[in-house]
Amino acid sequence: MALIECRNLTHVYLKGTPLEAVALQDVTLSVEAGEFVGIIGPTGSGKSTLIQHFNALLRPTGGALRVAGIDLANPRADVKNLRQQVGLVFQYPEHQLFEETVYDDVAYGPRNLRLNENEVGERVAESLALVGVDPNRFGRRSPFSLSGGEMRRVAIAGVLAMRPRVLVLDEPAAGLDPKGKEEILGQIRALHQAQGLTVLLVTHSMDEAAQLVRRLVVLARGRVVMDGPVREIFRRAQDLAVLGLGIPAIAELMLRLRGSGLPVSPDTLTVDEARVAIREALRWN
Amino acid sequence: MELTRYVTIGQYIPRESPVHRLDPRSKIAAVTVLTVAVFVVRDFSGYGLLTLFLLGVVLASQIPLGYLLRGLRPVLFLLLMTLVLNVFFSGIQGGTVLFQLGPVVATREAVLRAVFIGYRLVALVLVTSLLTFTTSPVQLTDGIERILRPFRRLGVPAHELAMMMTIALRFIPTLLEETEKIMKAQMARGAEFEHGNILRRARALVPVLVPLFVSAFRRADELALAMEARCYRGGEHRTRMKELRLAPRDAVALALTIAASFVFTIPYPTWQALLR
Ligand SMILES: Nc1ncnc2c1ncn2[C@@H]1O[C@H](COP(=O)(O)OP(=O)(O)O)[C@@H](O)[C@H]1O
Ligand SMILES: [Mg+2]
Repeated sequence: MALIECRNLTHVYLKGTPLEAVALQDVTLSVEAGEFVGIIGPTGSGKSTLIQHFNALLRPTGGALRVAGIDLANPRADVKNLRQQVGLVFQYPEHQLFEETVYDDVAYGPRNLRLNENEVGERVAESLALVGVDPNRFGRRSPFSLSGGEMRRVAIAGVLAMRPRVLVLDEPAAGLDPKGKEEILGQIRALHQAQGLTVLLVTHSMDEAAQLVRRLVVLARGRVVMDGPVREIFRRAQDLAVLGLGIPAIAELMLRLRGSGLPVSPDTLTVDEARVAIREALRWN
Repeated sequence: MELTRYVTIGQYIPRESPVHRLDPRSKIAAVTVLTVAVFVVRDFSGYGLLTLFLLGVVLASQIPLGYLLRGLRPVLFLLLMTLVLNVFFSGIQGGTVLFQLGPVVATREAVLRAVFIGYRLVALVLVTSLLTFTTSPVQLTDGIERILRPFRRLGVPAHELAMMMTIALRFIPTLLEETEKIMKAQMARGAEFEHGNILRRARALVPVLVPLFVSAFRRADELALAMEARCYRGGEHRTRMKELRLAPRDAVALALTIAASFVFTIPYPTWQALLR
């Protein structure tokens, strides 16, 4: 059975009040262990709502949802167990930092799991190392004295310290400078490749999606409108444009080159692929 | 977890109703008149008529009655306490005994008084919720500023008070949202807010309160900076995009409210004499 399985998942906020808002409607989706899935969609399309279901911070108001074999339509589901398996990194996670030292902040999760202090120390060192923060240099510092990119990485380490099997990230690179972006995304890719984590990545950057993920789920107005391999989805530039979404900059460039008569391969998403495609089209080999 | 579901204070429900269209000043005046009426009325005939009047306004406002009543939830405890205290410890001597629980006696007079006091509490909450549900925070504070303007001569900082109120009201939902988000983020790291004794629950709130304060200060800084960047210098020489203007319907609504309030205060014996 798939790791995450939702069928006709529906979520209505403030149900039964004049302010009720349908955020998700009939979402059917399944994610296998070991996948790297991108979730993309315009603002307000329900991306954040959807992923909060995956560790039971929100419960379905309709439909069926099973995550790691736990039935979440059941109000008595074992939520604690689930939250340990599925780590959720919110948008701007650095806003959740609160402890006096980086060490204590990352240790918050493991301590909530009632681990002994030795194990807590191991996990803190391990997860800080995973996000490229030196535990010896930064452990004793106040998290509020770090730079934006460092704070974010410490916050992500705080989730990794739970040792989840699944990592769900909501716009992890939003608001960072290009270098910070590059670093964070590189580390997420490494977590997937080296640690074997199942990763779900919410983004609204087509370039990030093209660089990182294999499979892309497109949400619009609370529904899944496309779901498939990245390359297939970016071939549907016109359908995406109707939804107010673009395609990666490189794909856009290839389209324009083709438009002006250079027969480059349309299946080109990264800079390296683009170099090859252009050389081929120009017969420079 | 939806904090906005439980905290309806300061919430505005946009609708295209005649009540929404009224000038905020006339609504504030009407609320004041009704508040006085609630305290002056002394018998069931008056409260019955007042209830009918309020129901009419609710209907016209297009706010679902159930949602309005939900606003009573926070004062429910206060309401129960008021009822119990007034029934059993009214201090009214004599009167018709209705029932007795050991040494405490409930008299007919005490029960009546308790019901009146309870009703007043409910009516006050409903009237003020009607005001905030049908008036956007900006309109509300504009209205208050205009009402306070004549008192500026006496040193009342009308504009500053109104601006503070606007900002405070504006940030209630934002801070609620922020609280919800931080609580969720800490829950994702294994926090539990609903387990353990009071001490443990209080301790569990530290990881929520610290980030909440940090973000409140950050927002305050940003807002102050943004206001200065746009040359905000207080109320002097400020003009507004939407000037408040009283319309004929405001006069009609206010006149109706005042007339109705007088009718509510007519004592029951007078009604009996009039209707004979
Ligand atoms: N806590 C909430 N209460 C009420 N409505 C909400 C809440 N959070 C989100 N919504 C609404 O649900 C819809 C989807 O929001 P969201 O999942 O945050 O979208 P996205 O992350 O794709 O931008 C939006 O219309 C939003 O206004
Ligand atoms: Mg979002």
